[in-house]
Amino acid sequence: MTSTAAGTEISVSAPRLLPRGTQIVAGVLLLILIWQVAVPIAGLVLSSLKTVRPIDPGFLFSPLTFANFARLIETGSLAAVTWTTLKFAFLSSLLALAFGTFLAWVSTRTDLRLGWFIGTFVLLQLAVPELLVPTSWTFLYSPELGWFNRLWASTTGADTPLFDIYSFTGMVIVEAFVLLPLIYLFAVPALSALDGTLEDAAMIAGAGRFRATMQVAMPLAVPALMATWVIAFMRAWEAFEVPWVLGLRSRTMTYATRIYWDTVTPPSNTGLISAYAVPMMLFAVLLVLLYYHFVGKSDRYGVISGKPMAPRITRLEGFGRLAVGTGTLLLVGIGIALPILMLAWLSFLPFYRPPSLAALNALSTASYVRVFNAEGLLRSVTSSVVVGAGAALLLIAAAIGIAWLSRFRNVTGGRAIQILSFAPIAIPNIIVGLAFLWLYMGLKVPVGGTYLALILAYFTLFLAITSRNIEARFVQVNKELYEASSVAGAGDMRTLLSIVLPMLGPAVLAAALYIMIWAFKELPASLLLSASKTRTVAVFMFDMSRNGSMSQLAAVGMTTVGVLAILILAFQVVARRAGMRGF
Amino acid sequence: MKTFTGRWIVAASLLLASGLQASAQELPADLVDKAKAEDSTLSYYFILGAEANRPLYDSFKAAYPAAEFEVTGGDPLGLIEKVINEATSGQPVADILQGGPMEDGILNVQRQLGMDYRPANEAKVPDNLKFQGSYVVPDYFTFHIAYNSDLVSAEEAPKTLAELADPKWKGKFGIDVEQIDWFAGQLALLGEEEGIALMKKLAANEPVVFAGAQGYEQLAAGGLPVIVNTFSAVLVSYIDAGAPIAIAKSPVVIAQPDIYIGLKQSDNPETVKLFFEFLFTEEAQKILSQGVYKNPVLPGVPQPPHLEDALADDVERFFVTSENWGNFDERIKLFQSLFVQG
Repeated sequence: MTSTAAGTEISVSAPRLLPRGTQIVAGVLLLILIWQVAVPIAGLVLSSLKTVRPIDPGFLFSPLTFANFARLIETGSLAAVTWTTLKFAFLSSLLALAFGTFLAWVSTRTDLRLGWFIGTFVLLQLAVPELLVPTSWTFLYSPELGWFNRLWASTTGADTPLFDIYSFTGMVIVEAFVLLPLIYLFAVPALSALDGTLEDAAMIAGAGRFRATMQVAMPLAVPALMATWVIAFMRAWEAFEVPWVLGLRSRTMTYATRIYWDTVTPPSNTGLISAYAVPMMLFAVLLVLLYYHFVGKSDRYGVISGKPMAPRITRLEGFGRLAVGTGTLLLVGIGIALPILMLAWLSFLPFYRPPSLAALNALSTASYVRVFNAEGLLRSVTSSVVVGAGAALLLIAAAIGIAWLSRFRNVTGGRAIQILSFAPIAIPNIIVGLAFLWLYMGLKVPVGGTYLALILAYFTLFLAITSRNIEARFVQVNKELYEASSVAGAGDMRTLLSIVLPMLGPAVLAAALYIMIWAFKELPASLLLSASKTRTVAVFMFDMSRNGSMSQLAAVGMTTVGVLAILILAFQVVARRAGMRGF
Repeated sequence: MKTFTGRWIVAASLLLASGLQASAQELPADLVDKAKAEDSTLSYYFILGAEANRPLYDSFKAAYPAAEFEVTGGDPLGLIEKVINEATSGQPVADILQGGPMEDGILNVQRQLGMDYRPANEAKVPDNLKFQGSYVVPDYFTFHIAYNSDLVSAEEAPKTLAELADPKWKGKFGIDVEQIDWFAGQLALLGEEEGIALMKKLAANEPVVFAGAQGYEQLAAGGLPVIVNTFSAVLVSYIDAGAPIAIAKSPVVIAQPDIYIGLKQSDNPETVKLFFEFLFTEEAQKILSQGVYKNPVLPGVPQPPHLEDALADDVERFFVTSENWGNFDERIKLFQSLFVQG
């Protein structure tokens, strides 16, 4: 017997006999993961110990050396850069976790009826190309041009700006808003899954609704939140756009911008990039272990039971209602809506002018005309849809398999599957792109530049987030359901298909949306692996942005948002029909 | 002409005005015949993507209808990586790569991947604009000191980098940290010692560092009075859009040849040569100048708008090339240590 966070006793069965075919599934999954994950990782580790590039002759037999690590340390400021990156990643991911969980709680667990509003803006934020998020913030909070700062100066006569977006605090806040959709997208299913009876029990025991939610319901969402936070942390660790746009001026350098400067000269210094990635990977392994420590006794989190009890809604009244409502509106308004509006404003001007009635005369659709007249927009949308759908199908199938296997402790290779499915979070996208580019070229496999090459790369890139979040939802399925199904005579496969899979719906839907949106946004690997006929929207937009003004860049961003808004709307319709709150 | 659409209208008008038949007649007939034996679909690698050269492609296709372009964009690192991998693995895809001195240094000087071909009309190019590598240079870019004309008068505007080392400009000028060619060019122009000394003075005067379009927006909106290393093609497009930006006329400007490398392993070598011939026709030169704001090399073709004074005959163009660039890694490290790490 073990106890839940809420104190309820749940029986834990002994390790089970493996259902027929499980070991075969495990074997197939392991082979796939070895090719998709272990090979790039082995290449990465080997590259870090070589000064010859993998594609060059003699790579395999060249001597092993620590020269790349020596060069990495030699530059002197590595410790400072690591410390800055650690602070940046920790604070921004923590802030994102707080913001994202708060918004998910408001939309799923309160009677404020702001779910659609929050969900729409959060998903739109996810659709904005990441380079444009910090860029739009600069037009709101730059010391010289920022609209807020100018407003502040004109109303108060102050000499100093209200807020300097180029500060470290500015970087942390903006990155938190970049990460917020990731947290929200996976916190909503987790918070929606909580069984209301546990909170009822807490209230009968004398706790108030708020206390019951915070002390009983929220801790049960820990696996999902923890998994998402780990991924958010790693994403912040390798984030390039925010440190590049905001940190450059104050000379604040993180790992990503440091790698950029150290490897900007082509051909890519794979040894050095790999040497940078190795500590990241080790750190990710630590986080993975930490995650498993948290969710090790997964039965504690089995909250999706056979009796579907809707999560209890907190009725907010008086000051609490005002505070939560205002906080939500400020968070969404200032952090998401205003930057998107600023982006829209920029896209209609040939060059930036602060919003004013006079500036309205300068509005023009010229930048949009250019984007829509460009050759290949429609083809790039098709590419993104094909690649996104293909990758989503493969990833979700693999993630369900991985989660299913995690129930059995006696599967040969089970632990390796778990670790390999989380490890890609530490591999920079450019390494994934390069690794597959070299593999296909080296083995003369004619898939370079095809959809298949992109789908397989995306599989590696998004495996960690998909598998972790589907597994987190899996963990929430109470053992009672398996036992009830078994008592009723159903086999394991039937239990999986008829009982468990429908329960995974929200997490599967969220993962599919996340992958589809990223199929429009992922750039480093797509640049390397696509050809002119398979370039995705991100590559198309990148091409457009290289040759244009900020207005054109903003138009490109808003076009992406517009295209993805259709996808988001479809997702919201499906989510509503499925009874999901929060979207 | 006030908008990007305007640029396209100019390009289209040029295309029509020049007469498609004239273009076709200018192309060597023997080369046309040889090109017809190929599939004539050019795989074109260019960091600015398909749209940057669209009027040029359209004009070439009008002159030689069998031609098609499949353009692959990307950053220099990615495109060079692809070309090297294609060459190493014996699976060529790219026919042409358009870039600058770095691409020439890595693909030609280090790996000899470019074909040697000299278009007939190149003979008309003045010697100071003629280059003899495994590539062709039908146009070039220039770097300029530019200022916000609402904030700085023409008299006050700095004409040289040395003036910006003056304390009165402290914190009031910007440097685009993506323009490493400009930095390498300055060191080549001034000499290592003098160049580094000047750059140190500039760095000590607390420039605002930025990357790409952000700095141009600040310049246009008055957030930044001066930028020291604006890129001519981007600068002209802002001025053309009505931004209050003016170009300081310096006695010497850093120039960067626009390098078109035809790859030896190309499956369409004759079509590549045909395209190179086309680039040196008067029509193509006008499109380069007026349609996409690059500086033409053929005499008699006008400069892009707004650059007439800054690139007058008395202004020296100092070209940064793979020969005088210096060691790529060392230059980038130095640039970074001076301006990025602070």
